Amino acid sequence: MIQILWMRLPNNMMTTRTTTLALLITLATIMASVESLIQSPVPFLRLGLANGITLLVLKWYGFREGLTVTLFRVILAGLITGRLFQPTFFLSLSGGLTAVLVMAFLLRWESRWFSLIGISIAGAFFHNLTQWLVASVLVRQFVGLSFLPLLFLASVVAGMMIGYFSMLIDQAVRKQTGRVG
Amino acid sequence: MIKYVKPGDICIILFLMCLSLITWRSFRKAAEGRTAIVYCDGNEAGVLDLNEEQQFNVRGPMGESRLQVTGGTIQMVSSPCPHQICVKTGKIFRSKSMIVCVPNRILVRISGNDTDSLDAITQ
Repeated sequence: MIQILWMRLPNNMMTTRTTTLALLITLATIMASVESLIQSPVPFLRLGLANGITLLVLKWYGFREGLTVTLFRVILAGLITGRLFQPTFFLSLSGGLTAVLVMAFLLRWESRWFSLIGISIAGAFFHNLTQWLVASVLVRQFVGLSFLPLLFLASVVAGMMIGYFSMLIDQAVRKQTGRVG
Repeated sequence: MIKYVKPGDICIILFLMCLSLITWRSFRKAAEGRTAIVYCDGNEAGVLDLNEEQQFNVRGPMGESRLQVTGGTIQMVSSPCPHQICVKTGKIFRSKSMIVCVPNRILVRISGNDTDSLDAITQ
């Protein structure tokens, strides 16, 4: 799949890009699976560390790459945590895909209107919203309405942290190498 | 961190704050007026308002069980039954959740609007 996506690039660049993306997929997978071990008092409440990786890939490479990383991350994390093709797997799949779409859309105005912080918050919010909607469709009933405000607030706090960290990583990488990939 | 924030970010944050405030207000209203119904031997022994701090004693075949309502939750404080399963159940507050004491024939059930209940918790 990776080879089909980057067929048009020269050979040496394609290798670098494929390797870097594979490393980033691994990082995101590790973050997602370790995070799933943390017991949460409220359903859906998570830190979303893997979201930061998705954001950076979207910024450095683009939409297709971000989508690929997210898909691989969700499937691999599902394999590791043993939740592949269980209801919770579809929750994280739908949430991850929506977050990628929203963040890629907002990144088009990144330098003028948004920073990575705001984009990360929007991604976290749509991730949570989609998960909640899909969960409600799955059980055919609105799930835990009383948790919703907490969920929105949590997406602001977690998104802010993750966005800030991604920004620092982005700046550090640019400073050190002058370019990415 | 502040110097990196751009106008769009502030809009997003404010929008989400308002959204959570609105949902919080509307759902808190919906959650009001919840009650716990106490059954003893199949008969309704009392209806308790969960918003009101109170104690409630109910007499079963083995003796007196004491219920306590605090902060929207209800729990069995003491019971004459041997295994104390009802006391170990702890505080309940979600609609449809129950405290059951089989030896003393007591059942406490929370009634409330169905949209506020959880079928299951997923992660």
